[in-house]
Formats: sequence, C-alpha cells, structure tokens
Amino acid sequence: MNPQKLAFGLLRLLAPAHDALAGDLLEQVRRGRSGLWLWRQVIGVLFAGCIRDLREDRLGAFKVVALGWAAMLAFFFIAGDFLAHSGDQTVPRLLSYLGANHAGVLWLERLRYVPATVIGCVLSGWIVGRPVLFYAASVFVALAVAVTAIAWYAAPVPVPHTLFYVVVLALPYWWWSGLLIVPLLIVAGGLWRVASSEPLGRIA
Amino acid sequence: MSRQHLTDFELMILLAILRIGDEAYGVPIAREIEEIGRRKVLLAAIYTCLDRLEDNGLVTSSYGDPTPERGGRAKRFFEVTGKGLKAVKETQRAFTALWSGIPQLKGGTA
Repeated sequence: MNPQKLAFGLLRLLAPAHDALAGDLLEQVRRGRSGLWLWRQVIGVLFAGCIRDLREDRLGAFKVVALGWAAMLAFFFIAGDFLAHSGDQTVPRLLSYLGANHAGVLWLERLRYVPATVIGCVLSGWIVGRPVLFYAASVFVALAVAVTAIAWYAAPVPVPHTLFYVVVLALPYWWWSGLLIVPLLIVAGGLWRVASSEPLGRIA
Repeated sequence: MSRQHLTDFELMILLAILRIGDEAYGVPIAREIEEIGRRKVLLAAIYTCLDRLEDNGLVTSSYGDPTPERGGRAKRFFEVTGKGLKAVKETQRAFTALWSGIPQLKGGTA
C-alpha cells in the first residue's frame, strides 16, 4: 500500500464521518498537492477528531482509558511475576561461559522482557480500540499519551512501587526509545482492532 | 449561542463563505482564507470550526452529488444563515467601534 492510500485508509478507518473532507483532500492531491501536505492534513483531522471526541464525552473516555490501563497493569503484573520467578538462566550462563561480559549478559537477560512489553502494550491498545465503545482512535491515542506520560513520571520509582512493573516491562533498557515504542505499540494494537473490525473499504 | 461575538477564525470562515456564494465547500473556503486572509489553515481546522458554527445555527450544510474526481465522495456545501449574518454584522460593529479613536492606528494601513 503506498503512503497516499495508507493516509486515506487511515482516514476511512478512524474518521469515517469525514467523507466530504476526504473528498476535499483527494481533490487537492489530484491537483498537485504533495504527499507531505496530505499527511499533515490527515494527522490534523485525526488530532482534531480526538480532541473533540474526548471533550464531548470525558467520562466515557476516562472509563475506556482506565480499562486499557487495568488490562496493561494486570498483564504486566502476571508477566512480571512469571518472568521474575521462572526465568531460565541457561542462555545467560552459556553466554557467560563463552566469554560475554557482565553487561552483555545482563542486557541479553533483559531481552526476555521484550515479548511481554510488546504483548502488554498491543493488548491494551487492542482492548480499547473497540469501535463500538467509542470513537476508537481518540481512546487509544489518549491511552498511549497517558501511559507515556506516567512512564516518564515514574522513571525514578523504587522497585516495590506498583509503577515499577510498567517502567521495567514497558521500557526495558531502552529508556528514550521506549518512550516512542510504547505509544506506537498501543496505537498499533488499536489500529489492529479497528482494522479487524471493519474492512478498509473504499480508499483513494 | 452563549458567546456574543465570533472568534477571528470563525469570522474568516463566515466571510469566506459569503464571498464564495453557492460553491462554498472545504477547498474554496480554505483557498479564500489562505489567499485573501493570508493565513495557512488545515482543512481539519476548517471543518471543526464549521461543525461548531453549524451546531450554533450560524451555517447550514448540504451534500452535492458524488464526483469521480473526488473518489466518489460528495462535496459538503455551506451557507450562512440569517443568524450567522447577524453575528458577522455584530462582530464587525464591535471591531469597528474598538478600532476608532486609537491614535496609533491613524494614518497607516498597519
């Protein structure tokens, strides 16, 4: 799918009520507007739609974002507990015997958490991305922003703190890139849910 | 509507619709604001504002026929209502009143 079709596909999926606007954009693109211009417009449509929807039903949005948080935390608690107590030390030991230094072994050991990170974030986005609940894009974007903001705030929390599980599992050993990866994973989960609920349909 | 006067962006959009006449839909409204108002705008911002104006009864909208050049999508045409026209005039009156009697603004085109 080329970038132009992807832009119109996103618009169709996430802002189905803006059919006339999509027509305006297509008309402009066919008159020579650039792909960059199109993407700026599409992001503007989605952003404006998110803000308007969240303002219109703040309580509803809060409930769904809370549901996303609950799903993510529940998953991270279960996965964190499982990984902490049943971690297989075979690979790190083998690497150690083979001469890998301590930092390298530790880093690889932590890679065990990556699947949990991916699954937890995508799962929470997928859960809140139910179009029947709300205007889906608004909610999973709000969840992505909320999780990123809290993860940023929670960076220095001590180990027993509840938010430690979010920080460790959501942002393992890649602190700055994690702040980008986590919201993207949540948005990907939400998009996956919306796309699987409704076919892409007519695009440019 | 609870507010007495329009924001500058609302006023620009209403004036653009009045200037364009019967063919006022998203693209020409944006072009009018960019070329005559000399202001860069996102179509999303225009539609958000138009939805708000419609909710407040200042504009009405209707759909035209779908056209192939728009991928089979219809144009959404906008028209200023009597209430909208009254709001434009009232805003103009308020601005004109505020404009007058300012020595710094006399004798120039700003």
